[in-house]
Amino acid sequence: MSSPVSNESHDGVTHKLPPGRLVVFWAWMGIIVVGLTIMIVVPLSGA
Amino acid sequence: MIMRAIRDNALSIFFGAIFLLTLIGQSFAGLADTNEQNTLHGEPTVTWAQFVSSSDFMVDVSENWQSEFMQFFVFILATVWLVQRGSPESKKPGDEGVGTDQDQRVGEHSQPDSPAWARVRGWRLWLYSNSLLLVMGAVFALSWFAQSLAGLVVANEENAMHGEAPQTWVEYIAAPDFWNRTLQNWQSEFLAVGAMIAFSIYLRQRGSSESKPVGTPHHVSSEESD
Repeated sequence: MSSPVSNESHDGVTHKLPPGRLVVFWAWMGIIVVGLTIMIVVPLSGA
Repeated sequence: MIMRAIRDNALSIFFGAIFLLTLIGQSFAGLADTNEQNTLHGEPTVTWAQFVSSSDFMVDVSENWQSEFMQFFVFILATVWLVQRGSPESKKPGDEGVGTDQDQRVGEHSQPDSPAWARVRGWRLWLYSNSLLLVMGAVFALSWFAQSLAGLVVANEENAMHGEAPQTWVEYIAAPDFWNRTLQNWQSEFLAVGAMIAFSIYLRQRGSSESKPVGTPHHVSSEESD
């Protein structure tokens, strides 16, 4: 099985994930954080 | 370049798109249902903007969110310690537990391209080793908390209409309404996960990463661990 980290961006030093996958990660994290914030703030405001 | 980026991330993009479409669909169906009830009770109807910023909508969304993240939280935790022989969702019998450092490729067993916190020792390795469970657990806890807050507002609107005293948050989290909303979602998650674990021993979907390859014997739990 190949490594989950593609060697296409392998720089041998920092081993960063390819940017595309970081965008996907933070897009999902963003959806969840924004969603949770709205779902907590709205009822606290009494709406 | 763009086409390749789309193909490389097709699964995430597909689920992101159908998540947004179904959430929008839920908002319009919920609005129609609310306005039907309001009309029946001789109350003024609400706009879409009023509905999506109301606790009525929030409680419906949050009760489903919490149950989904609870499902993954329990599934991730249970699959560390429990196995199901023959299921591709499971490690093979005998592999129960958190595994050796060599198996997990951490510390001195890490590879040059292992994640940075897998190559160190101490709290960073512990945190990264449990990061998926911790994030899923945190989202579960926060969305369940959101459900309790929104459910309380909705319950107290009903109480006010019937001339009853408002409930406190502590009273609400012990109330039947809170547990009815919670458990009706939890039971369906456990049913679906249990069915997936059991059915995938004998049934196959050619080409799906959720299935064993079609010709894999029934007793093989996971192609990678055998």
